[in-house]
Amino acid sequence: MDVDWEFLAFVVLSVFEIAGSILVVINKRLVRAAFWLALTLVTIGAIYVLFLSEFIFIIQILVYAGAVPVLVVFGIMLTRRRIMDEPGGGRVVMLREFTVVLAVAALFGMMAVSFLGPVAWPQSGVAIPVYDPSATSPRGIANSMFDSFSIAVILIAILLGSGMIGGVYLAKMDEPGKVGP
Amino acid sequence: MIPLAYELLLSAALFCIGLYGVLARRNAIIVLLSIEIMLNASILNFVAFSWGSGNPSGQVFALLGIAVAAAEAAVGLAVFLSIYQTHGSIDLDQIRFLKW
Repeated sequence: MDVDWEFLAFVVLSVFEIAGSILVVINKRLVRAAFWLALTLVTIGAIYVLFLSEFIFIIQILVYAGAVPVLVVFGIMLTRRRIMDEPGGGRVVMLREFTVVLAVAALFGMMAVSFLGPVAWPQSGVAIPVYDPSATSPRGIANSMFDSFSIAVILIAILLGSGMIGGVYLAKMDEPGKVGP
Repeated sequence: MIPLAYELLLSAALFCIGLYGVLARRNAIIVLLSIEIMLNASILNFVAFSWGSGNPSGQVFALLGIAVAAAEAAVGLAVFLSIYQTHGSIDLDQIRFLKW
């Protein structure tokens, strides 16, 4: 029997991904949640490889799996340990969690029915080069990014710069209880 | 060969799990991590449809989305750390100084 290894890899990665993300949202301890988030992000990156997008995979590993969990873990480590504790909820919280589970399950069911319905999704895909020097069809990511989306790239640079400056401003503490320099 | 409908199901599942985290959890940093999961679910769709249609715009949007998500994580964490310093808690049921 012919085994479709790509599909098998997709199913295994999906199981890891969903299990990891469930562990992120139900975890009571923040550091463990951050490391489960790292697992989830790495497996999402592997799915990008299955979709022939190696460049996005590299960026995902560098920015997401590398930086975001480290940022969270350092943020938690630099504060006191009490930030990690979440006191046990009473009946109101239990009721809210139950309601949210029902609502989210209903949303997922609706999406699943519409996705598995008679829709003509693309049956096959093509790999997109990072840079296409001839600039004919299909064009590369870099051609598209610095040609059609050059304003978006500049805006993202401004957003990142102002975001980082704002983050440093907010997190800077000279004395306890005082925010900003 | 991966059917695109299954990828959409995976993305929907990730989005719903993240939505549960945003709506049900009270720890603000867990809410931030759940928002990261939801953003990743949408970026996964961009990449998959870019693969399916052969159009590089989806991958460009994925890159821009990753950059926005990184900035959002940094600023969100800084905001919650300073709320923790001034209020002594990041329990979202207790932080109500924007409500009156």
